[in-house]
Amino acid sequence: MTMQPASPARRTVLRLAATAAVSLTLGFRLDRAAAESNNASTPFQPNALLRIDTTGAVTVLISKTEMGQGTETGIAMIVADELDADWAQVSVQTVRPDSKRFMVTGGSYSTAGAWASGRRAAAAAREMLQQAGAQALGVDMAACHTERHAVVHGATGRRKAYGELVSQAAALKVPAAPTLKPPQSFTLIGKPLPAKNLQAIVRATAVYGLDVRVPDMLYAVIERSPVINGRVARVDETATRAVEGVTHVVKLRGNTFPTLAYVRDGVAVVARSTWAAMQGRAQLKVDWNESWADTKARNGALASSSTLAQDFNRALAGEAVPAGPDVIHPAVTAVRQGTADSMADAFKRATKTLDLVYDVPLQAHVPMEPMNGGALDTNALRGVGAMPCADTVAQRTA
Amino acid sequence: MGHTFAKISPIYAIGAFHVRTPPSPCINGVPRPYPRDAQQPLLWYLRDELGLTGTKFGCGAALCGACTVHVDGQAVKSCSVTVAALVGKQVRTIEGLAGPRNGLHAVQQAWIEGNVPQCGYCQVGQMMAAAALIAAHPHPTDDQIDEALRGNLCRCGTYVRIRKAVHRAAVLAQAGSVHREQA
Repeated sequence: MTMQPASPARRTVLRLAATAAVSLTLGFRLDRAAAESNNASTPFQPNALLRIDTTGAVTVLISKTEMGQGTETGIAMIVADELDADWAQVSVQTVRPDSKRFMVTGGSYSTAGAWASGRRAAAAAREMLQQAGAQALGVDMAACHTERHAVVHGATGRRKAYGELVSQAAALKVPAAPTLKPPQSFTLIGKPLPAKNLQAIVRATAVYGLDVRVPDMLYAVIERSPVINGRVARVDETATRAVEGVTHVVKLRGNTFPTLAYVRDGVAVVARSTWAAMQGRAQLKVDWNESWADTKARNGALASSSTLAQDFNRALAGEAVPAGPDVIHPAVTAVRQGTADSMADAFKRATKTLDLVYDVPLQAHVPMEPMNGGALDTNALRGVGAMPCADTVAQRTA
Repeated sequence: MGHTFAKISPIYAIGAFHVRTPPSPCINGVPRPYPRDAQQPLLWYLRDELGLTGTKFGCGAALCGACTVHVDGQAVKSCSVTVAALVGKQVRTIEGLAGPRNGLHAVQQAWIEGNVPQCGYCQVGQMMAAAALIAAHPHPTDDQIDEALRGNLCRCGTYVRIRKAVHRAAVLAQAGSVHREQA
């Protein structure tokens, strides 16, 4: 894939030229912050693509993973609406993480991040198609409009489908400031639509992480340290090795808490089937070294949700909190308006004041699909796939 | 894909012939090869040996319902029944729910109409439980639906849509059977 060199002006939509003959492909960025900090000194790296091929098929390629939150469908709707595309001809694909694109799905900003940039890219494509359509119809561009996957000449009703115009449109200059549709012209945005993967889910053809199959693959399950920062001291794998189908027993060194992405130490059992791996894991005898684990009693109790809550409350009350791996930061005032005097005065004169405490218990995410990942390691190809919240993190760690 | 084990290790394939006249498990109306380990749960035989990955693994302890299949028409958690226990029984999975014509079962039709799934991981189990329910009770009440599907968890919380879709599926199934009788 070759890209046009970045122009001195800030660029937010890029034509990707290699496939120009068979498709109109525009690159854009999903994350707004990165798109706007882009400048002349850093080449523009799209992490999302809008592709229209000569059959008229529209593909939105996004670096965000659909996990049931509707991101895939939402981003496609934004692009399809601005493009005046026929929703039935729009599909979504997830691009694979690579070393160039940082790929993380989380933070609840995926769809919001596509709002401006996705519309700009789609509007640019729409204007390029409209210009190509006007040329093909031999009329003025201003005398045409776009609707339902076609460029239409208003006066005569003559139309050219998007697919027919792709080759000509791909050769045109990408408009720097395309005109966005006014909200009252939206046909898809704001309407509830079935998810693009609805049929695949109901027909059970959707491929989840655990459903990935490659020829001759092995299956691994991991026995994890029962305590944070526990280390594998000794493994007796005799009984595990005796389980038919078990091929490898591998000690896994995690990292040390506290850290951003804590991984416990463990012992992986690899086998020719999931069941054999599970049987092998059940036969493991692991001695854990817990001397790095936090087993020190404080106030007569081991660290737990309730001791943490006590620490939080002491921090709120301005008391000193114990230093250590689970250090609690002092109380922080989130919002304050006015001076201390005006606040005191306001409280004095208030007819009603509120004194409320909000707390949230520790809750594990525990998705229905157990955490899993896949790794491919051959002479020809090496790849890692994992639960999709932090693809890039998983890839780099591997 | 379904015969990966035979390919990896010929021992397993040979082993299968040494078992004394094992009755082939019948999955979706088709006799399938005897598993290399008949004591393994049906779930793993389906997913790893036959490549039928529509049936999902959630907990492995019959607590979540993601692995629900039909055994002789009854909804069963496939993680907690061994293949050996299925001698002479008919197993149906989501891949065989709609029948050989590649259409949609009334439950699947209702699930699409009602836009039921969110992430979708539990929905195969939900649909299998629902299909077994309406086969036994063509006009299930809310209470019957809640009771029949109480073992099927949904972390996205699609329960309200599920219950509505089960009622709709019952109507569609009824219409379908009337249609078949007339034809």
